[in-house]
Amino acid sequence: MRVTQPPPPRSPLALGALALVVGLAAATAACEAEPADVLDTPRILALRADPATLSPGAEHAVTALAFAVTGELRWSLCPVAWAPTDPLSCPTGDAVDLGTGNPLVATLPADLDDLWLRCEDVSGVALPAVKRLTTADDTVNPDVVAFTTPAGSLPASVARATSVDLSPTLTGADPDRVVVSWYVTAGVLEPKRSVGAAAVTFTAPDEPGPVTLLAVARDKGGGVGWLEATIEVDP
Amino acid sequence: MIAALLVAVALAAPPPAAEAAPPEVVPPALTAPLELPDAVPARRDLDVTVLVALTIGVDGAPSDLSVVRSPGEPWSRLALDALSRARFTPATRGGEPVAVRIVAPVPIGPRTTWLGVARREPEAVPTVAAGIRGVVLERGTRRPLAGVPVLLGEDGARETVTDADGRFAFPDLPAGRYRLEVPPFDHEGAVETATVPADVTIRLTANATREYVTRVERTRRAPTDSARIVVPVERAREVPGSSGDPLKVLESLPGVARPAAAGPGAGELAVRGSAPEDTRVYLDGLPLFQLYHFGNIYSVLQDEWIGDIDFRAGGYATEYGDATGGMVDVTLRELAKDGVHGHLDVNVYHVAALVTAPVSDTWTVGAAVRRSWVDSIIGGLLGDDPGFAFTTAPRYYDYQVRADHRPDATTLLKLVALGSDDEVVLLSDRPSADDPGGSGFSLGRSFHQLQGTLELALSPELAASFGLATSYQKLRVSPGDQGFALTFDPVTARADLDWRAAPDLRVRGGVLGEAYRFHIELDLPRPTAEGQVELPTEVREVVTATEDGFGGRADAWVEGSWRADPDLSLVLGARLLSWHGNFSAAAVDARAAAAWTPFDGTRLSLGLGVNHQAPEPQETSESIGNPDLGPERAFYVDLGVAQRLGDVLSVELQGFWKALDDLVVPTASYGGVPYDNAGSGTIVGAELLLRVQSAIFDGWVAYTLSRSRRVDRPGEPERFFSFDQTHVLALVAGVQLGAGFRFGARVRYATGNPYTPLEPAYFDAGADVWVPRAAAAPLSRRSEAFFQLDLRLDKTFVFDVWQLAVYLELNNATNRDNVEFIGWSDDYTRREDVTSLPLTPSLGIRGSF
Repeated sequence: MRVTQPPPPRSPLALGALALVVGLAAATAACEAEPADVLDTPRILALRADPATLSPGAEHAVTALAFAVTGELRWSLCPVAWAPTDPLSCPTGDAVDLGTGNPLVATLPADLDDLWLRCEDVSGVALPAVKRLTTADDTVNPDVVAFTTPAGSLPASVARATSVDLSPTLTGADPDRVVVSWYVTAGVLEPKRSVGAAAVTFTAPDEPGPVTLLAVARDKGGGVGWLEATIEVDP
Repeated sequence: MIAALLVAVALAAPPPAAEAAPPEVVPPALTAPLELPDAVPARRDLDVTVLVALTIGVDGAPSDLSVVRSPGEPWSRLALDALSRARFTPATRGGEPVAVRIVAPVPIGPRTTWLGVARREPEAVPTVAAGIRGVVLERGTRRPLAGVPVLLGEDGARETVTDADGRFAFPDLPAGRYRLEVPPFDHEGAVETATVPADVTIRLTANATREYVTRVERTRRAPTDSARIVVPVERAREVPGSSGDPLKVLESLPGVARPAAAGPGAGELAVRGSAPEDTRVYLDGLPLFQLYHFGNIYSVLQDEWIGDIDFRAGGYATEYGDATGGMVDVTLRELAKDGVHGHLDVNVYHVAALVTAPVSDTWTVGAAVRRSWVDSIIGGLLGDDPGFAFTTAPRYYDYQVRADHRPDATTLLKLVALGSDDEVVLLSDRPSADDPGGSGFSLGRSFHQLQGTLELALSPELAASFGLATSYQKLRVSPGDQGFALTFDPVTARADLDWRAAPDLRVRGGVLGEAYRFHIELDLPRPTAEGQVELPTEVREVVTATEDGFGGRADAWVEGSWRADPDLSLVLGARLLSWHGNFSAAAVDARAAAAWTPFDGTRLSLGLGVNHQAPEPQETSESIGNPDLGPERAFYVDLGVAQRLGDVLSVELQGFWKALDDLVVPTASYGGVPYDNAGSGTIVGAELLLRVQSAIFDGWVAYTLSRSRRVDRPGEPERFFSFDQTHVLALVAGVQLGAGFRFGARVRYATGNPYTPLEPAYFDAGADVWVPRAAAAPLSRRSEAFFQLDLRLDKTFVFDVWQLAVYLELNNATNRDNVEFIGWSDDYTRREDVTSLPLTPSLGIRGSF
């Protein structure tokens, strides 16, 4: 649950109340609300640029992790300076169309600093996604290379309603700077986000069948990597 | 009740000029009925007469007032105040005016007629050589009962009356066994037997049905504030849902929007459509930094020491300035001088202890402390959650240390040290689903204040009051990795005079000076306009700054009240305000008011004026604000009618209109000054207050109809103010059930607050959050209406020297899910609101002696 729309507190006291209550609401949300970690609608889950650090004038590969998106993905760029708070409001003529595809390889303009990388579902079903690309030189894309369990590698199947602890194996970035977001098509993940190689618990659904597991690792500098796996829930 | 002065004058010790007097002396007489307030002070149940010696001059003015006999200081002050304002036709000797000294009885009684034997004037107690003497005390409180008749013998043949200390005596009795009887009146009766010589203590149980009445008006307060409500504290702490906190009654008064229990406006008082920060809170006329712990969990003041809660929704005297909203002035009750008293209080929130003790004839001291234990409960509830951990669960404490000095009836010095500390730290050991970059939040808020007030009755015509306060105030807020810290150290001094220049003219005035030092550390997103969508922090401009500064304020005010005739009074007042430091400006507040009583029990009132208010300190900060801001301004007009219907029922209706301009609003320019004075607003509404007060049933209905609109800057469309509530209704009622039981109920209804509907705009794949946009105009929709029923049952067990009060509340008895704060799902496709607590029982126990 999000609590992003309070009237702006003018007084320090109001700020205090805001912090208290928003914080308590966050605590409540952590206990009760279900973030949208269960994949059931078309979504763009992550955007990745290789290399992760923006190099004006250089060639970059951009990739979207899209779930159930059947239409084409259109890519564009917008200078952050032109749309500092609203990446979708780039004035006409200032946006740079990169074309369609996933992944897409494009040469970025040489005269731009920070950019909004935008990815839109041409069919309009999924919400557009944006990502800020910067010239900061400490940005590295992490990679999720495997899922492991206490017993070893990820099993091919699990029994219904059983739980298994999963840990991501990360490379390419400092694990302490990486937050991993987890998604499933069925069952329950707890927690929904983890830091570094910390484990999460997957509880299989009651219904048998294949379940897709997704883990998106985000480096605090802006790097992204992900891994998808399928696990079978036994009858 | 307006009691007439019975000028049964005893000419005592006429002045030297009268020694060669001719035989005929015509005594002085009142030119108008004596003005006594509608209530009597702390001891509400006493029907007594105060004897006051005074000199009536040749001009009819009273002087040299001194109390000859009184049951206690509150009554003495009442009588002295009333007589000092009275005017007489002078005494004459042979037709020539002469100054005389008289002893005047001033009868003061409660509003009800007591069944049984009324009390009388306390009588002096003779020295007992051989006989029976004793004292009459109230059971449970050990307070002496003055003016109580005591009968001796089977037939009550001999009778005496207790003195101001509750003592009585029957001297010179033959040896033997005697029956003593105290007839029932406002206390239950009692019968004792005693053998001469004897020293007897008689304890009387107070009637549960006795009436509580309101306060005595202090002389420095303006009598013509039409929107003024003074709440009897005894009733306020019994309001269901208050958990014994009388200051929570404010949320059930007309003109006050229903404060949310969660969210950025939690517990804040939005009065008559104004912003919460536009309402000022005072303690004995000096600024109070914080009224409640954590929004509105509980007030920071000990209820036992709260004398009055003086609430004014608007149109208040120019005595109060730098505010365009309402005003709350809490008066500390004078410490009891009749012995050691105290209490131990336990409820769902905290444990509290209080003690007072007289240390000399003129000094009384007290101390109180309170510490929450709600942190243990919350910590226990959330302690097992694997994701969140309270480093410090919400906890608070507060303290007060007091000393009162009352050398005589004309002087009162009150010294107070008080403070409060709120702290909560919530840390997460993993990223939040809401805020992947955040790691919890923390809040710390504290203040420590020293203050002294001195009230002097310099002469019958002139009273003065002085106040000095200094405090250390600290606020620290850290949502996630960001934060805001403020320390604010003000010194405030005020001096006021109250001069009755003529029988029909009263002039009041004063000065106020304040100097403060502040330190701000800020690392927060730039503020957005009210109702605008606040985007996730990843794409918002963050303001980082540290600033130290000084500032000050110097005000002067004056107000004249003229009683044109007995039924019409007029008030004119002005206040000069000047601010110095980061924010430098000057302004003049002005006020005019009139009150007319066309019929007995009917009062019409009109008030209009202009008020100014400084921006908030951070808004004029050099580093994060705009020092070139000007003060905000409000023009207002109030029109009211009050009708008393017998002794039981009264109705008050107030209409109000207010125009706001020069409001401080955030600017839209990226990188420019963050605030300017481009805002304006209009507020219009009406308030109804219907009060019922009888011996066994009491309560009130408060209804407010209002509309508060704002325009953020010229040319932009008008919108609702975020605290606007069209209808606000509170019904509060209590009934005495007998045997010490009291049952109460409170019903509240309020229109939902405006909010801006959202819809998803895009997914920020870098920050891993959805970003919303407004789905309609700002603040164009309202949340669902609020309705809540609270029930309360009180029972007081009275023992000889102490009493135990127990209450059980059922809050939200209908278990309704009220929306306290609008929330959204992660992807902004549906609302996931923060709702009120479900049906919640609340138990409180207090032992007092």
